[in-house]
Amino acid sequence: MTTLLEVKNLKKYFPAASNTLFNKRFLKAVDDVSFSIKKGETLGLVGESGCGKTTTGKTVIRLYEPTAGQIIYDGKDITKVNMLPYRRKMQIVFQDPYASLDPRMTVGDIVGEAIDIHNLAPSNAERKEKIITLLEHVGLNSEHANRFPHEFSGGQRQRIGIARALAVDPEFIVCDEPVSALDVSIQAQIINMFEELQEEMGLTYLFIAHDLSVVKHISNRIGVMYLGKLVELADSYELTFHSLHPYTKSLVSAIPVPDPKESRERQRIVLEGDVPSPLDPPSGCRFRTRCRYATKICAEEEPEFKEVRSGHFVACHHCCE
Amino acid sequence: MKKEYQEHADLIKVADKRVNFWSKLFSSKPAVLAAVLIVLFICSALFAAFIAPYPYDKQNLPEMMQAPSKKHLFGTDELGRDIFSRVVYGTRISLMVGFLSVLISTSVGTVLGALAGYYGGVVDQLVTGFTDIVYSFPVSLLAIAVVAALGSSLFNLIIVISMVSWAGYARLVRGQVFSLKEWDFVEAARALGASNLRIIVKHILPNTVAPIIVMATLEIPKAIIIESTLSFLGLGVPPPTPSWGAIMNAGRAFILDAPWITMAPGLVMMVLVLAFNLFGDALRDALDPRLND
Repeated sequence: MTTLLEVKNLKKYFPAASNTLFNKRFLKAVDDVSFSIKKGETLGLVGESGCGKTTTGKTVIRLYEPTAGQIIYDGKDITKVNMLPYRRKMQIVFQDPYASLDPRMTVGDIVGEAIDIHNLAPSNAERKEKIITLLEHVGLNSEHANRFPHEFSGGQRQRIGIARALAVDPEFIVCDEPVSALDVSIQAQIINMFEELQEEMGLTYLFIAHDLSVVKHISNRIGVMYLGKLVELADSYELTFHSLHPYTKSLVSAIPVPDPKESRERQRIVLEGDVPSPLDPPSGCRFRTRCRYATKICAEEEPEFKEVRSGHFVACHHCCE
Repeated sequence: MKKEYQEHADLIKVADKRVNFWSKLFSSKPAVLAAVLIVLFICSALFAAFIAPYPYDKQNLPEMMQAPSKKHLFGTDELGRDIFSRVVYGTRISLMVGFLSVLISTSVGTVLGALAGYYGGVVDQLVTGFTDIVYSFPVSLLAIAVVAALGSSLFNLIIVISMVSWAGYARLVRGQVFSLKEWDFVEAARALGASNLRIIVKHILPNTVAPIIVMATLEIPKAIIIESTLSFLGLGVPPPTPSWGAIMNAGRAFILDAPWITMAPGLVMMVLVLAFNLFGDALRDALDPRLND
């Protein structure tokens, strides 16, 4: 399979309010992240709130301008180009189904906006037909087109958001925690729909979530982020059963097991302390303040993100001992 | 069959929403009264020639300074002109100044505020700086200075009032745009390839319309008061065109002998201003999204 998206040393810093005039501080939301996604694949991205996974997703499709690094899409460097042609190939589905739909527009106009922008329908009748096809594609129907977003439930709104992303017939979709705001019963429906759409349209996903159990179900490979850094990246199975990084291990141990006996015997790794401020991250390995294996070297040197087994990358000084 | 039923239900829903707005707007008695009064004033401005019993500039010296009577509803002035007729014609000036200056200041303020809020940075600093300057002047003093410099005419009056009142809209819209542009739906539009212009016109401004309409309704009476103030000071529309402020000014000298000359236009203006304020408040309540649904 060919590589569709490659991200090299991506950085996104936000200027933060500084207390002195000359010492300008930056919030390093994404700090030197590299990964690639193959055509038709789903790459999951997990991590706790504020670790930079959403920023990574939005920077990859240039909703945020990257501070440094390269984004290569389908063999072409898109870090600095005019994005308009790529807006038809790369799309995004947002986390909050309430904030992501314009309350003053009808569902038909929301879904049809891409058609208007890229002139995808030569006549009004075709536009209407296209909108109805899109709505039916995500499990809604033509009667919904004339209604306003506030008349829909969270799950339905998320379907509208997906229909909007599909309107340009994209190849790649960033799913930014698309199910986190939904009820558990609806989560399953939406995830299944993502899978069906992928099969049907050959889509490639960057699937962001803070819930490892959701991500491992849908992803081929999973990347784990901590404080703006990618700490581990591996095949889904490998990552869940043979994780190497202590942070990943604690995340994996938090996945609920549907067997009470096994659940009782299992050892839960509970992390102590809070995530340090991304404005002032720890020296060396960023995880060391909460890591039980941390030694002197962890504070002095930043661990390299290297391939320790085939396709299994990890950034830790001690994991391979 | 099912489809027909569904469509019918949809129609009811849309109709419901509209009915909801209007029923909410007119649920309070003051709002109904205000709306009726505003319509009456607009009619008297449009059909002044049919409503006024005498021409506004017809002098009738034998009947000068008469108290209100059946023949002269609001009495006559020192030249025997019918005050009622002059007040009716004066509505034209007041409403024209009110509506036109609000139209201009709303457009200017909205555009500048939207640009400042959306682009931020230097544009924002410039616009905010100008609004602060406008705000730091006493409104009537600034208006007097400008009219004194430009000369007094209806056109200049409208320009001056727009100049002192656009800043309020700019502030309002800037604040709205500032928070709206962070919403996911704006980002979604950008992800679809929408241009900045499209995002502002299609997504951001429609979501700020309600507060702008409310503000405009509440600004109309302010504009009317400024116009009357300037006319009262002799900086308004040149005579003999009747303006409420000018009539009051002319009656000032006879306030003890013929108080109706000053009181009639004053009371009428009070009623009009009150009507707009009441209507604006009702509109705010009806349009407030937090109270809806």
